[in-house]
Amino acid sequence: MIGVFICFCGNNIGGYVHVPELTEYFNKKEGVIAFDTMFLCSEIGQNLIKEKIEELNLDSVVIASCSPKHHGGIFQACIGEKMNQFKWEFANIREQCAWVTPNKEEATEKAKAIINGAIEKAKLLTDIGTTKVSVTKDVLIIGGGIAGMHASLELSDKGFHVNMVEKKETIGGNMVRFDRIFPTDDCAMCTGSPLLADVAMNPLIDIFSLSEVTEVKGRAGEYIATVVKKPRYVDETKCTACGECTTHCPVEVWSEWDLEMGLRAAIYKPMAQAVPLKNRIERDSCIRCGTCENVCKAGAIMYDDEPREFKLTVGAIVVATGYDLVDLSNTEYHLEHPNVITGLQLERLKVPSGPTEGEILRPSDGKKPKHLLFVQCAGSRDRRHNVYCSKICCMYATKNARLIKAENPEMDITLCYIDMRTAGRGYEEFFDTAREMGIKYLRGNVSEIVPDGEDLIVRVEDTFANEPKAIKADLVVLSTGLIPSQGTRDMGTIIHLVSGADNFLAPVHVKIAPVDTANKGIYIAGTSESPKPIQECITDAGMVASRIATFLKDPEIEIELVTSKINPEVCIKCGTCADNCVYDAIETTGEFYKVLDVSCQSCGKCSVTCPTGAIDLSLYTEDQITRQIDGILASDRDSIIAFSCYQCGYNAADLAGTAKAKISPKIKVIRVPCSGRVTMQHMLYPFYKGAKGVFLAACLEGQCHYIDGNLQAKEKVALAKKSLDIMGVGGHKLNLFNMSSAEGPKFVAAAKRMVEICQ
Amino acid sequence: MTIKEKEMDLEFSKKLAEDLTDNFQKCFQCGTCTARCPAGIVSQYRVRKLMRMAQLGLKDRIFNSDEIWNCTTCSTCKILCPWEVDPLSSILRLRAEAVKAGHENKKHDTLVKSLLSYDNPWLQPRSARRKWYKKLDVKDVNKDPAKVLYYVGCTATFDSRLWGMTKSVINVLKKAGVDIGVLGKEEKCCGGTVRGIGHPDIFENLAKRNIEDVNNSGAEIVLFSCPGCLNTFKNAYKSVGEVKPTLMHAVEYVEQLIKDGTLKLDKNVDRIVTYHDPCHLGKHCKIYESPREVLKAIPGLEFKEMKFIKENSWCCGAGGGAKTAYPDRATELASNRLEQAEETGAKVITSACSFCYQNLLDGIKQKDSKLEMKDVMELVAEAIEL
Ligand SMILES: Cc1cc2nc3c(=O)[nH]c(=O)nc-3n(C[C@H](O)[C@H](O)[C@H](O)COP(=O)(O)OP(=O)(O)OC[C@H]3O[C@@H](n4cnc5c(N)ncnc54)[C@H](O)[C@@H]3O)c2cc1C
Ligand code: SF4
Ligand code: SF4
Ligand code: SF4
Ligand code: SF4
Repeated sequence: MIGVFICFCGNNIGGYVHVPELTEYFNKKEGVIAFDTMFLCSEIGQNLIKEKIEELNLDSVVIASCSPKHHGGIFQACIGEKMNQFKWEFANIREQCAWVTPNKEEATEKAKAIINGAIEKAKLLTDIGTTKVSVTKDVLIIGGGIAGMHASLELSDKGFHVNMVEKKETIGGNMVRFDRIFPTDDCAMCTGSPLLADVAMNPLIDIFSLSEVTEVKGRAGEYIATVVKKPRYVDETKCTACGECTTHCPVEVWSEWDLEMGLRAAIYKPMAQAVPLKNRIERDSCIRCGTCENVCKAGAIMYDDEPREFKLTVGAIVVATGYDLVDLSNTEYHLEHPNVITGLQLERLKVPSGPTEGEILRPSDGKKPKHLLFVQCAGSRDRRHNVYCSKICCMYATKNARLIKAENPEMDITLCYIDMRTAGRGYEEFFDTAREMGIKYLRGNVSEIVPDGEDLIVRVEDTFANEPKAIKADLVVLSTGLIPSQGTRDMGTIIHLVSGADNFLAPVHVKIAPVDTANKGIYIAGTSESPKPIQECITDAGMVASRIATFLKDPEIEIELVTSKINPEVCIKCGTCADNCVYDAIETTGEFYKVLDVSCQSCGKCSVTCPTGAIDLSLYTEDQITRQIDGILASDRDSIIAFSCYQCGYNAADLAGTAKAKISPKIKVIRVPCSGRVTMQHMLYPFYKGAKGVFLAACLEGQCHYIDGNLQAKEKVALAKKSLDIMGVGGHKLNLFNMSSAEGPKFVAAAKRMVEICQ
Repeated sequence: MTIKEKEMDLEFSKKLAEDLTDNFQKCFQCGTCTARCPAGIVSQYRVRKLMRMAQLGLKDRIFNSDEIWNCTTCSTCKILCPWEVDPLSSILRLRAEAVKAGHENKKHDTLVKSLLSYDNPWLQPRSARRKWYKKLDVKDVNKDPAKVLYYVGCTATFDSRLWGMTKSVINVLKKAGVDIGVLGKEEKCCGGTVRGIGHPDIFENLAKRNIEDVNNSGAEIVLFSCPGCLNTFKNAYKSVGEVKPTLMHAVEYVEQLIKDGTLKLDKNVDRIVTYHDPCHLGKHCKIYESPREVLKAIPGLEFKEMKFIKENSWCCGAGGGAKTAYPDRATELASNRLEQAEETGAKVITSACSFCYQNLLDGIKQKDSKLEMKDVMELVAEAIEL
């Protein structure tokens, strides 16, 4: 007997689907008993499930409710109290049915098909066990900005050993390059220095500067990261940072740290508070004159220093790789003009220890500007650059405008904006006083910056006064928008983290799991996730530390054995599966081939390649998926089956629902762990049963959570298309669409396209 | 002035936006367009404000003011908008709605009537189309098909000040041995102007007949010296029918002839020249390089760029019926542009458009400028031995 539990979810499902009709319908089905309730996830709902499992001795359960991405964990735990925690299947009738089908009758019919598919799959569910594996208590933090530093201190306070890998020559990130910090206007270094010192002195934190993580292998609780440390050409154990070398080095080049607002030698440290406090030779600018070697009393110069590669074994990873500014060079902003600078460059001018010792002097002639103009939304809220709002630039521009105005009351300061976005505690008050100080806020987006000798003419409409203006300015500051740093973007390939359409890293759930990623034991913090102020970076860091402390609290963690299994009677020991497994999870040494449960990542790609069908992935077996197709098509023959990978496509479909997009009721989603799990048989079988079309919703190429699943799927789809052509069905009715987990509209477009094709 | 609830007709704005992509509904009122809109420099017209009025459905206010008739259809707004709104297409739709509701711009009346009677906007008899080439030997493609059909366009056909340009087109191409002809008195207005001033029905009728003419002419290429006509044929006709021959501006064709060696420029033209990008050739058809390449190929010619060129060039002020409705404003904009040309030190300002030619010429007169107006084709003609 299978128990079907249907949730009204208040009006969320009940308003769009005739729930009582569903209950009545499934109660008539043989071997099935159905119940409905207002909120299945509530205590009342959970008790109902538990009671009925016991009372009716149910074989398995179907939960018809919201997306499993929401309350899957709750239902699993609830069912697990009374029977094996995997003996249930869900039917997503909220995001993927109620919310995308405006017609109530159609939505009800679609829900029937979805639930029927789940029932058929549930009939074949078997018990799946768990096992315990040991965990390493060490943590790896990638990126030593404010988010990474704060997380490292929190974690070391909790007793964890932290390895911090930082790409630059010093930790600190962007914040330590600022003058002051909104909303309190305290100096960045007054906050930053103690933090840097704490991290540097902490015996539980090891810092690897000039280093990058190049590869991550292993599993949650025991990741093995490969780190490459670039040569510093200075022996870190010997250098005392006396600076003798810097004073004597004959080279003078633009300083990257000062964003080319100042100069540096070829051997230098970026700031007095650098951590580690060691000098470094930047190889490209060094002319090998030998001066530093001669003057260095500590004998620290190592011209023959080489890159070093090593491995770190850690239980959990924090990605805090931060942001960069969007590159506006060679655009209409005329950043090539010496007197057009970015907000970050202005920070360097303002810092007392910076290239101008805190004086605002314009780069072209070193004179104090009389008319300073800020250009808001430079590269943000602009479809030619980035669609999103960078969230912090209204505040950071206001901060600097206030500070400069206070010191230079005679200076004329204008700030051109579309909307002032100053949401946050104390932020509106901060903005209010800026107006009182006489800073001119002009509502209008700058449409043109025209170089006029050393000055600039800025064209902008004062939209409140209805007046187009041409304003002369002698220093223009672009409030340049934020983009994920190169390091953040690289995390897609290095640890297979998923990113959104904006290229920032995507958490597993923006609202309820904001620092978790789809990879267990890997967390994100700070601006690698989205543009945000320091305060929110610190909140993230604290939450990450807490999540890790929970995850690593016991010496062992339980892992669920939703893994592949080999049937030794059918296996011909050809080795195809082992060759294909990117996680080296198949052992071929013993008498029989065996899957190593702790290494298996449950992608199911192996089962697609096995020539005899000896290897199969539990919870998504060949037969279970086939029966699910049967169940759906028995209810609605004209369906279009959408195999959706649980990392991207499935999430995109959920998001389409959250956005209340319209999707044809013909589209029926079948969840798969990875598009690479879908066999040729799965692609062709629905057509035998009368389906109108089939498509796969997979991750973007290069972003497959299991490395190459979507590429394998692409090959399979191409082959299956040929078969369909031969069969006379038409290969065009089978397609693969790539999308990120954040791209709901892409799922909608794919669905629409399929309906057009398959009419 | 407060906006009264009953003035707002949201149904109107919803209907207006239907099947218009990137329309006014998306506008977030940033003003980027307005700060650079040429029409707003010489009038109280604010394109951003118009988008707002459209969002609110202030139908009567829009129809009863002269707001919508100021736009020169230069497309600067579309190019600059950070949110990828296309205000120009919304403006054209508003003009059509205004006309439908009986609020046409009275200053356009004669033009429209002339078109309906004579197929040209300048109240000229059809036979007058042959005047400019009386002394030239030009094929009439109705009698004797040619490989290249030169579509002259009404403005150049009837304004004798532009005949230097039209004659140059014929002379230069003949010199290169190109088989070229014209439609003669059978040529009709392309309809670009009526489309621009809110008469899609008259436009469609003209478009259909023109498509038929050029498709049946047997020509492989239709050549234009007026980018207004070229843009209309190339982009606006898409919704009406398929134009079979290849459509090219004379400067594109001549660029090819120079590059493949068919046309030799051997006479020195010792002049200092700058070039004004016509909005309909540049911003609309994206042809920026051809005229420059041609000018640079002329021996002895010294080429100077203005500060605002290509996508950033300022409109001369003539387009979209604005010159007919507000001639003074158009001349004022032309004067502004001429000032930019003078700054380069050039003695000659060139362009590749009949409208720009007329309007810049008016500007030169009013401003008493020392600049000489020439079409690119006229300078090419100077560079060849005829
Ligand atoms: C001009 C300007 C002014 C601002 N002013 C303020 C303000 O006044 N108040 C405020 O609250 N916020 C302000 N902000 C925002 C503030 O900068 C951020 O909130 C904060 O610095 C982000 O910290 P983070 O640790 O997330 O990233 P980051 O500071 O970017 O640090 C990331 C670190 O990771 C390292 N890294 C990158 N890739 C790798 C890799 N592959 N391997 C190893 N390491 C890597 C980087 O080198 C860097 O050290 C301002 C921003 C700007 C642009
Ligand atoms: S060897 Fe290189 S780093 Fe050392 S002093 Fe010479 S240039 Fe500077
Ligand atoms: S925070 Fe302000 S300046 Fe930055 S993108 Fe958003 S609105 Fe524009
Ligand atoms: S097309 Fe040109 S004149 Fe018309 S509104 Fe746009 S910018 Fe102004
Ligand atoms: S630039 Fe675009 S968004 Fe801004 S006011 Fe103009 S049409 Fe609206």
